[in-house]
Amino acid sequence: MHGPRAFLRAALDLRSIRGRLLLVVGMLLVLGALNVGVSYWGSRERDQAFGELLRAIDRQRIIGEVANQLEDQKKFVDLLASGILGPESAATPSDQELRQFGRAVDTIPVQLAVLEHISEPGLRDSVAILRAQAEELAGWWKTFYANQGVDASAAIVASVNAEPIAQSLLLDRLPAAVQREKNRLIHASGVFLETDRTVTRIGMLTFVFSALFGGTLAFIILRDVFRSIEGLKSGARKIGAGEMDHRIEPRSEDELAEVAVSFNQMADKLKQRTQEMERQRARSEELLLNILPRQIADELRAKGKVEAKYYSDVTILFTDIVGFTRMFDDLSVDRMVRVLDQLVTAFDRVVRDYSLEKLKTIGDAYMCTGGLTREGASHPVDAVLAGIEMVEIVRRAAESEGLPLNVRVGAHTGPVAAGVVGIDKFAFDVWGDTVNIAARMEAGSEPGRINIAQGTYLRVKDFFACSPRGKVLTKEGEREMYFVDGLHPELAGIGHPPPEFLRRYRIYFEREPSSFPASLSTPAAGSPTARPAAR
Amino acid sequence: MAAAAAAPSSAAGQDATSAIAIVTNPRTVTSDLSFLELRKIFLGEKQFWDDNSRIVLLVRAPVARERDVVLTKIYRMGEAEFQQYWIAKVFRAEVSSKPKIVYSGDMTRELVTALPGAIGFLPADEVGPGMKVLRINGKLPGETGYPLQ
Repeated sequence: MHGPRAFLRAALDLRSIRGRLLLVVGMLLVLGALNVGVSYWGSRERDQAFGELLRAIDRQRIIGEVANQLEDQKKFVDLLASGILGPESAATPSDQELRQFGRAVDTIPVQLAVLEHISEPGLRDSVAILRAQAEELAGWWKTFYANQGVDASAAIVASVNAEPIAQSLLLDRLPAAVQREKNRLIHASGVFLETDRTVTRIGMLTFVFSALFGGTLAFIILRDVFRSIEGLKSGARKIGAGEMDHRIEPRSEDELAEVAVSFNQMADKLKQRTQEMERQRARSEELLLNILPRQIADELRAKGKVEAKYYSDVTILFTDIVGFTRMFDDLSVDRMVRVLDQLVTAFDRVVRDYSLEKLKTIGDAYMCTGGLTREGASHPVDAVLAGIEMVEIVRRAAESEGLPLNVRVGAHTGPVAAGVVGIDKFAFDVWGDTVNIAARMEAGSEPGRINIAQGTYLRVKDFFACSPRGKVLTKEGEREMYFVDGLHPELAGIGHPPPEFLRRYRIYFEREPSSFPASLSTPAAGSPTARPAAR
Repeated sequence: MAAAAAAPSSAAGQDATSAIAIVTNPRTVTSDLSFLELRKIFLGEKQFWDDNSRIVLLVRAPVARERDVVLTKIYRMGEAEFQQYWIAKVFRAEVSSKPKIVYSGDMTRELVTALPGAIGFLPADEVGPGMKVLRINGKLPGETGYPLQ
């Protein structure tokens, strides 16, 4: 949901990050406004105090000037009136001198009028009295000066009348006013300094409060956000490292909690997908291992290809179901395939039990190897044991199915070249004379018998009783053939496997046999008689 | 006091016309002064009468015999010293009332009569009505022992 309404709803919801961030921004704006307001208030208070200080200074300057001028004029008048300046004291002043004197003495009440104007209302009356006295004094002085040299008596009378006023002003009222203005100046200075200190203190306190409050609020809110982010980061890292069961615990009810929930859902799906992929990979692995030996499959996965290799000691075993092709005329395809599947499946199990590798089936032919992927020299014996198992399997199948089935088995041991060919439906295969000879051994075998070439014979003759069949012509020349008749007489005994067989196997190959055909075991007394291995 | 306000009488053996009379406004409460008090008044060291009214000192302008007598007898100064004395007093603001210069006996009479608290000096024979002649050391001008002969 987007839009102004949703934004406003989220902004008013303090559980959301947006709401909390907006709260922080709002508080910072309020604190900023508070600081600006305090600064403005402080500036105004300081200006007022400073203005009052300037007015006090101005008042003191005026009252001081008035006092000085008054004193100067009084001295001038006194000196003229006393005649102690000599004969010129009695001289008649010129018009210009009269005007200058008039301006000088009139300045005093004018200045006092200014002082009255800038004084506080409560003090204006006293200043007004000063001004009135100064005006009266100025009048007497001007009368005095105007009569100088004209009417000396009138001049002296004027000066005498001016004297008490001047004395009152100079000795009483003006000193009081000067002192009052001095006190007011001191007070104004104190007020200004105190105001400055108070304003500075309040400004600093406001700033410190704003910084602490804003910082604390931002810390508290951002701490939760950072914790949630840290939880998400940690969870992502753990899940990325493969801890698919890790889940993020939502620490709040904000957007990050929603992200955590979504993240957990994603982790669930990822886990499901991973498990699915794992299953598919295992299936793929299984399929691959069904096609290729494990080592070859590993190499193919690792390198993307399999280089052809030379194996010096491999046993190749071929089987062919005798009479299977002829049964096509009598049996349905379904049954044919079912029987073949039953046999091949059983062969696959045998191959696995004896640590051999299935290579392929071609029709009713089955090909497997020993020694390709498993180290050790037991593979000829293992292959013969597997062949004995296969013969028994086919025999039982023939009995159970009531079909005239049998199997020919051939094997040879020798060097082969092995590798993977093709890119589509590729197959692992082996090549070489050993393969051809093994195939020839199978072809030269008889139903229910295992026919082995000399390469295998020499490796199994201490374990099995074999009978020479003479030579057979192959593309590689004449080759000796042997039928495997059964377990070597020296190894026969009661047990599964017989103890002597087991002992020799261990001595020869320094390992335990992977399996052992039940058909070769001699049951203990009372047990059903085992069938001969191959005959 | 009434006697003091009248014209100075001729004292035995004294020439009243050669004496200098100290005259005041008739409303002045004082009628008798010691010479020392008189000197203080003329030196500006005493500026108020006993009733706290302001003393207005009138001094004859040069050149006049009575001025010379006053400078000699009361101030004990020459003309230049007198000028210097009052200039200094004025500029040191040691006096609130400086002597007023008068240019004739008539002016003295006029001002002494008109100005409350006024005190001046005249030749004894020029003393007129409307003013009070002070006794100095209990003596009036013309009497024996009057200091301003």
